[in-house]
Amino acid sequence: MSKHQYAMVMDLNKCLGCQTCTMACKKQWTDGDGMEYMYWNNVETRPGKGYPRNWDGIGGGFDRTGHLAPSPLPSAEDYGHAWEYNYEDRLFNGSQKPVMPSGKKQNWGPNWDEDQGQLNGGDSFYFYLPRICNHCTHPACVEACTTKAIYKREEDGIVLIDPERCRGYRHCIQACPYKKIYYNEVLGKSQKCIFCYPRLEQGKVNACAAQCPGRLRFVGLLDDPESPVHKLVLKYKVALGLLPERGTGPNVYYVPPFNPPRATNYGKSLLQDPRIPLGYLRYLFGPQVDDVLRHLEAELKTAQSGGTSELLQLLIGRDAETRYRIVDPETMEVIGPMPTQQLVQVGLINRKQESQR
Amino acid sequence: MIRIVFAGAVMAFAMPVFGQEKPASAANLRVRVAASNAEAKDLLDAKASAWNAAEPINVLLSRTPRVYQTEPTAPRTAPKFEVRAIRSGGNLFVRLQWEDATKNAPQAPAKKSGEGGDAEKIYKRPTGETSSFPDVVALMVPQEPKGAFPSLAMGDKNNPTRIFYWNASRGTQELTSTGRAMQKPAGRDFPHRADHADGKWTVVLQLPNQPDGCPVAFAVWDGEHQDRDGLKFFSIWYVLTDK
Repeated sequence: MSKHQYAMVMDLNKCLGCQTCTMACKKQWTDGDGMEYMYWNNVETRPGKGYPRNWDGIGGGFDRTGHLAPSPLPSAEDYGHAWEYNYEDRLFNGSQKPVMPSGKKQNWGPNWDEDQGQLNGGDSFYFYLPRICNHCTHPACVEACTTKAIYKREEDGIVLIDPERCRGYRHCIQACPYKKIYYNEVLGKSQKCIFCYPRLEQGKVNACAAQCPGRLRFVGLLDDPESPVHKLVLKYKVALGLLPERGTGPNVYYVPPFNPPRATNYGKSLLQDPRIPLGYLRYLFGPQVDDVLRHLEAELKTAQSGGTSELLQLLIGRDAETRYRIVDPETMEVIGPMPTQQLVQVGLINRKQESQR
Repeated sequence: MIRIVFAGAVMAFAMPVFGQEKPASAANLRVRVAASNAEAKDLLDAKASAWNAAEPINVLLSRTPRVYQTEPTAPRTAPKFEVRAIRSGGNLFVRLQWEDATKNAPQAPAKKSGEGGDAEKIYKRPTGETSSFPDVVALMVPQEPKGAFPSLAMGDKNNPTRIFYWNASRGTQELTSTGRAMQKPAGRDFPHRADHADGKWTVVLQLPNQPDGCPVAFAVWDGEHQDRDGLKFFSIWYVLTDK
């Protein structure tokens, strides 16, 4: 269990699906041999099948008894092979055919089902879900790794793979409920999002957050009362983890999407006949999503009627100082103490330790 | 009561029948090592005549207990596994042959080229497969043969082991280990030759010499069934015995 926990909040109401975060991460971290198909950060359209295909339907995480519930390994086709375009033919060899992917016909890839909506009573809905490793409080990958190659950093809760110890057995990939660990066949080792720890150590925010034009990402220590993630997750309670029933305690939190309203429900509450079915949001973010939406709606009404909403000001997040709070190791030491109940809530201590405090 | 007596009678009758199958005696747990003057390049050829003089030993393999939570539950039959050994020129040559209907030796595809620009700069070698595993065989000896058999689970703190590991995708690697999950690459590989034909792997390993009486154990992984790590077939300790 880590002393502190870095976390990220993503406000799904602000995501444009532009993939700038995806490219920022790709250029920074996954530009090497064996990494072409890897997107440590991806943005998928929901309710689509995602990347790798159907990742949320195949298993992973822990079952109700606390045992690992491993899934099958996704195949290379489930991620989608990287493909090339026939630029050479088109630009230099006089081909009249339009620029198209060359080589084998593809049937899946990251962002394959972009912007495909689903009908809900006559209205279509979809939204974007950006995903990185959740740096879980109780990581199934750490539990599954038989070579002790995966560890959770004590100082800040970031989950990393030691490439020296990893032997590419891929138990971790089967165990991860989010399928956010990738196998590098060239190296024979598994690799994953490192929460940009080398950037954090220089006081810089994660590359995906820094490049986000929608300003939807908030970064900081969950146990730092001054951090925006602490405020959004624990003070205002408007950000929820993905698939919480998988039991890993994810530390990437989402402000659930609720817009746009239905064409026909002008003047009605967000929760009355919403465009995005509540059942689907409950599936992704758990039963607390109703309370979150109710809370957000109340804040919106306050703002719309001329009042001030601290929460909405924070969610607008105009500047980097509002959205990020990266602390140096010395500052980390003086943060706290956090109320015991909140420590339990975020998994930094367990019930037994709570009773001993 | 009648049922209990009956069950007991069946047990008493059945036990000797099981016993006749493969009596476990020390004599069965030896790998006879033949001596030869043949050169290394010849002995690495599994068909070299020198191998005819080496006694074939059928090593019995067992499946590891289902301790890994990611292991599928389907029962598996241990492959037939034959070992021959020759000592020559300060090396121990071991020829391992086992049944494996499918050859699994996945390789990452080569770097792409031909779409214009400087291919060397533009292209990286891609990952081709994410759910395939190679066939593997390994041979384990104590780091310092001193009479005690180290733990079969890759040695223990007081009795470290040396593991000679061959992987159909990546070739050979020497490891040292003081127990499960404690293996460390020794930073060395060793000469080998491997061939898959007629539903069998034949792999010849050229190892540093091991003394007469040295314990030796074997393990086999079948990539087709996603065997890796502790998901494998293994032998108990055998003993290298000079003729």
